[in-house]
Amino acid sequence: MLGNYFAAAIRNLLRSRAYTLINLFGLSLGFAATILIALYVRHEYNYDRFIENHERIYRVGVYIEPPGRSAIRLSVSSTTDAEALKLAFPEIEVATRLARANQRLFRNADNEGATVASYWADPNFFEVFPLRPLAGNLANALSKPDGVVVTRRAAHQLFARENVIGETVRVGQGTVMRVAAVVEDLPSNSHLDCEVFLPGLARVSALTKAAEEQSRPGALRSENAYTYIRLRAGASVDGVRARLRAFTDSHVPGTMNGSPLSKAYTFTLTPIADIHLEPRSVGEPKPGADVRVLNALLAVTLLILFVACGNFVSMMTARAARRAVEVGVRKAVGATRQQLMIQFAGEALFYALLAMIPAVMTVEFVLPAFNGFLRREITFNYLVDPMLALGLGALMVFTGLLAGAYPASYLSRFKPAAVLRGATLLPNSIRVRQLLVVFQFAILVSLLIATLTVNRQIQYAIEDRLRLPTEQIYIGSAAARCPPAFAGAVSTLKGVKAASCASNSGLGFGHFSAILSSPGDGHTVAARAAPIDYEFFKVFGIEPLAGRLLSAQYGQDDMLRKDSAARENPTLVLNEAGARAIGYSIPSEAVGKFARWQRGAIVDGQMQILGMASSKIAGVVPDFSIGSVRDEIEPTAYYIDNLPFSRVVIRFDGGSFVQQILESARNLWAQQQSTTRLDGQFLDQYVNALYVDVIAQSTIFLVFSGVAVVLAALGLLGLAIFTVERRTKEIGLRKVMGARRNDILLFLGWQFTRPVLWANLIAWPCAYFVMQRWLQSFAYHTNIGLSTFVIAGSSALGIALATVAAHAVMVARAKPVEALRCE
Amino acid sequence: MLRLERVCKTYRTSEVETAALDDVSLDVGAGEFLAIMGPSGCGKSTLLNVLGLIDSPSSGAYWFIGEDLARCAEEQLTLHRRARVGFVFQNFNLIDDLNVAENVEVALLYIGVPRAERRSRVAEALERVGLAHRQHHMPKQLSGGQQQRVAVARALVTRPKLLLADEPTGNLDTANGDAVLDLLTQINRSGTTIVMVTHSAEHAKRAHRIVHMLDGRIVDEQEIELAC
Repeated sequence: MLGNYFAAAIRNLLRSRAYTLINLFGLSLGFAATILIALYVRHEYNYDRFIENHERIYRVGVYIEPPGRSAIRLSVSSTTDAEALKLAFPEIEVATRLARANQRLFRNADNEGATVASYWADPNFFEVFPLRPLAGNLANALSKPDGVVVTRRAAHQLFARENVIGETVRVGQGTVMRVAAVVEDLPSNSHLDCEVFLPGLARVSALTKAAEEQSRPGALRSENAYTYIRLRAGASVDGVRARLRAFTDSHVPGTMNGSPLSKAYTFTLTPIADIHLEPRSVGEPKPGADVRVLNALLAVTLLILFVACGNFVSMMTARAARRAVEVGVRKAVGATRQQLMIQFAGEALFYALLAMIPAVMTVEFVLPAFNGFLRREITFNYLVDPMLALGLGALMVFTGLLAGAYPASYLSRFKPAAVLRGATLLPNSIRVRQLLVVFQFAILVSLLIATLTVNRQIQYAIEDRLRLPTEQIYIGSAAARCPPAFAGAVSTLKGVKAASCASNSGLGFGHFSAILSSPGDGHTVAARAAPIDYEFFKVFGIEPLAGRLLSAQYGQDDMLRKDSAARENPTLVLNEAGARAIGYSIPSEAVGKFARWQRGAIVDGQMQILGMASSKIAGVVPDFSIGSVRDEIEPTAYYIDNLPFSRVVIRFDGGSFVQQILESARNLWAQQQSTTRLDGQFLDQYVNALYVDVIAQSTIFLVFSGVAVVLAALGLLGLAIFTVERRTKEIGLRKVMGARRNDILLFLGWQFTRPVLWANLIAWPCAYFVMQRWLQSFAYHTNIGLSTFVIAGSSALGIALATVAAHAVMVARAKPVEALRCE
Repeated sequence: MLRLERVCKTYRTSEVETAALDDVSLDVGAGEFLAIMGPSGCGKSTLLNVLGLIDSPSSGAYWFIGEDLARCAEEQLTLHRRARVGFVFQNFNLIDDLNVAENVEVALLYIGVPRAERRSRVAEALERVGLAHRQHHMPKQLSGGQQQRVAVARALVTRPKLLLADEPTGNLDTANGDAVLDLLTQINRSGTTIVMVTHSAEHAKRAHRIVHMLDGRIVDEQEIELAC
């Protein structure tokens, strides 16, 4: 029996080669898109699961809620927490730490250096993270203060080869260390980005220095280490979490504004496999994933698959007339409806299998480019990954059965008495196909609206919001302080418009807290303190909305430059949000007024929060941030300070030989700071990196829109061919009665315009609802204008008409007698 | 063998009601060759469909080999039809995607005949109709007469008690039509009951009895004296 079914299926495929190819192409495309996205989503959901015993490993983070200030979530904690936690909680089997190393690494033999992601690690780090060793003994590689572990990639980067045991590296310009082991590269689905593991025991190690710092009496906590704990087998993390409050109260001393500091602190334990999907926290080594985006991708994938299945259903039922005799005969000789449904469902499964083969080949072909675009290392080893093979099989079977269910049901319903004497098909099949085309185009229009909206938001975030020539602004960074003389020297270079030393807080990278007090009712608001120099506003082209900018002409502006230990507060410039926060809705009202505020300062070598003191408000500037438009711009207090600024901002003239000028700047830097190097990136690179996820989303939506266009066009083409075949006689009669070619074209054009119009009616409200919610995840966003819907709708219409145009023209040109003879 | 008692068949759409059969009563004996004649639209094919259990009467009784099947659901009719009824249609109704042997084999697939036996019975049926040498050909490669003979082989391969032929020579020329009738006559002589709808008076005379229909009713019956 199977042989008979198989023979009928194969020959039916070969008899209608064009239809078969269209059908298989559509289904294959849908499969390929589904597989790619599923691989990506699986990759994102499986971060760090390759670590042995990952389910028992947690990263210790901190959630700080200072009174009157905005809360902050940190992925790091104090260097003292690891040992303290292990002592306090018997459930903890082992605790280990990592701290980012800012030094550049050099091959000892020469000055050829490389910037690789390097971290200071505790000697027991590999006990918690047992990476695969390629050479050397990993167990004690970090036990010596000069033993270094490198990844395969780092070995090639530093030494151009892999067997580097015993090779020496210089950390910064000073300390020499020796490679004790080489490990396999971390896969891309790890929250860690380590290439080099430096010994935490070394005197120059950030872990050692932090420990020395923390051991001083009165030292403030600083959160600067990644702390990991592994629980004993069978231990419950809930038990640990339940006792963390008591641990916090005893382990976090000091006060903040009169309240115990511990009240503002909450320790968090995040399973390492969840880190990548958790909400963003400060200090993450890598950007995390947004679960909402992953879910949206899955939803889009399902829609694409639906469109592909819809084409399949449409094609199968459109060709039903050719199988009607077979159905009638089989029923006449005794086949039950169930047996026929099994036969046609089996054919659908066979189609799905045929479509899966080119789909798998397509995925293998595009995967390298896909990985490059997403900056991932997604693998597709279905021969050795049973879950992947099972997934492919399930996709094929599920799609085949889902897509085949309706055609199988439809075909098996034919009454033998009717079909064997040549009766017409059941009437509702054309309606089902029309409905499918409507939904396919609704999905296409929705995807087009989504793509246009995402692109518009990117344009807004990158261009409209900043209103800066981002490709002409360079943001440099160095481990050492930016000397004011450097900025002055660089600004005199030809081709440089302005240069400024800037703090991380001033640029929006870090967060330096301040508390502003309203002069009216005295309520306090959390603000960002932004220590800057006099060139800062000039570099970014910021003009005051009211009052003036800070200037060295005014003694109170320059107060901290003259006396960095002064307890008074210098003159302030507030941003609009800051002025509003303390009660001045009109910027000019704030000028000349006094605001009380607290700032941080380095006293006796340590950062301290000084008491409230008054400052005159010299001016109000527009809200400005080069940070993400996802984050609301905080009230910001700009002031001139003598704190060590680690950033340099250089603005070039348009048309300058930027790279040459940059090299001159680096040379100037090297003259003034021989121990560090000036590295950085242009503002457009930084901004693009901020929105790399949104840009990636935009590209993915664009690609999926393209896939949807192809699939929807295929579906419409199939409907067009079927419709014309069905109405051959009608078209012939219309021509006989005097219809001209254009009349026939208009008639056919209207047939295929109607589904697209209906599709727009469905798509517009759905897409608006979804995209509006997406936009609201940004603090600052564009609006979805009517033009977006009009462009998407008219594009879909254009696609539809272009798809059927050729066929319609062919039909319109045919002689009426041919049509009538055919009937 | 077959008995219809006051059978009516009405087709209803939302606007129109058509009485295809109107109070038809008919007996068909085992081994009989019955011809049904009448103008187009008189209900001949509908009568054949009811006799062949591929359609159910709207009212009346239909005794098929001793069982009243008039009120049976389609699934039950299918089961009764298996291996008991063979069909030969005017437009042959061969499956284009199957070759000759596979077309004949289709009739055996649903009655649980093992594969080896299916092959031998297919060969036997094709031998009987003189087309064993064409078993691997596709229907499009055969003439009309040959296609109809394949259809006859398909109808015979299940060794049915009843063979229904709906204008089996309607699309054939005289020679081929005569050849098909010869075949049917031989089959009848070997014991198979045949009910044939035909427009051809010449072909109808090959039957034992001719029934005339008009407007859904049987209006005349005629016994045929067969030449010995």
